[in-house]
Amino acid sequence: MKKYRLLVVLGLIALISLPPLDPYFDQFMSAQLLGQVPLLIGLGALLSIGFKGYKLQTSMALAWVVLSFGGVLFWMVPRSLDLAVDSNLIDGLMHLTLVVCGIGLGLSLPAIGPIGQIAAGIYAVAMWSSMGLILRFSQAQICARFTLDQQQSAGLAMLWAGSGLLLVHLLVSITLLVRTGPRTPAKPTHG
Amino acid sequence: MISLGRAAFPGLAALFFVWMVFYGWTLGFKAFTSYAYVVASAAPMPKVPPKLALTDQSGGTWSLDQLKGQYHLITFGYLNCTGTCPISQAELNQLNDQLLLRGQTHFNLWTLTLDPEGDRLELLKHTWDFKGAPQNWRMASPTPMGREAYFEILRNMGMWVDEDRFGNPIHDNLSFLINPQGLLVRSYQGIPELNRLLADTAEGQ
Repeated sequence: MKKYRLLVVLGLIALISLPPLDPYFDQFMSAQLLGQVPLLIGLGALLSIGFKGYKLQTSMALAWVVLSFGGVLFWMVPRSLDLAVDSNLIDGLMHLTLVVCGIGLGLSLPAIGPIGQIAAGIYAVAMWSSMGLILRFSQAQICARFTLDQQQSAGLAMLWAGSGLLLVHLLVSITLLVRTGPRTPAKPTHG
Repeated sequence: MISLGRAAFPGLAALFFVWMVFYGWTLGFKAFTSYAYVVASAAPMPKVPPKLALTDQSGGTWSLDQLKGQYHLITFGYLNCTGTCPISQAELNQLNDQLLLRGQTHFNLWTLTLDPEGDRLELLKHTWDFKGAPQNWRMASPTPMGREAYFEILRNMGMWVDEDRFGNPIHDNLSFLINPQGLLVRSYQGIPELNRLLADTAEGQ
């Protein structure tokens, strides 16, 4: 990755993670879940281009996929989200983790092959949509730091975004499968 | 087989690590929300209520751990609340009417303010008068102490309460039942319905 591109990505991460944008993201659940979180993961994935020479073995890549998804999921736990809104230190930790998870995904996804990528995509869309469903239809406040109205709007927005993600995932999956092509059966060997 | 095991090991180890982190963080998958975490961290019921000195709207002094002899339903709120408090207080009003209609005079209802600085005693008295000065319902404020110390006592009871960025109390909607032996025996999400309350108090008699 060229130096100026790296600086642009780092600058964008700082812009999203620091005031005046960060308090805005923290104030609205939709902005937090649909704006800040995906942006930080995406920018982390862009940063992973900087580690071009670093090739992961499939087994280690799988471990990184699990850790990265786990890291993102951790900040989707309502209690974690509450703490991040409540404390600047934990908020900073959340930003850092999400960027690292983005780097992890950026490095590991290309190494796990098309079937692994499709499976990871299915998991991500399912995780995202089920969270959207819970937020949209729960009649109780789930996050103490956000109002019920905010929670339900965020859930609805996540469901719409989830539908979009599903479409994108289907298109990407079909492309990946077509590119890979059918497996040629091994020829029997005699004698 | 051995090579497959070796290949799968990092992924499985990562999965186990993530599982352990989530297990610990959510207290055994029981506390995903801040509310549930406070409840799960508090001592189980029945338990002795915390020592919390109170002054009611008429200037009477009480202590939460000394409420004995009758049932006491403890609720929380504050007068400027724009969240769930007005609804809870309306439900409490309705519950009080139903209790009195049934002649259930051995129930004491309490509304403890979460904003002792703002809800001065004269304001509590004014609100109490506005409700028709019900004799079995007290609106009380804790004896002056720091807000954080007060909130910590409530958290130890199992109630999530904190301040928002403007300094207003934010809280969950729990209410607590103290039995005639002076023990906290039950908590309810919101104000319990009459039948539920009567059933719960019949169990203990």
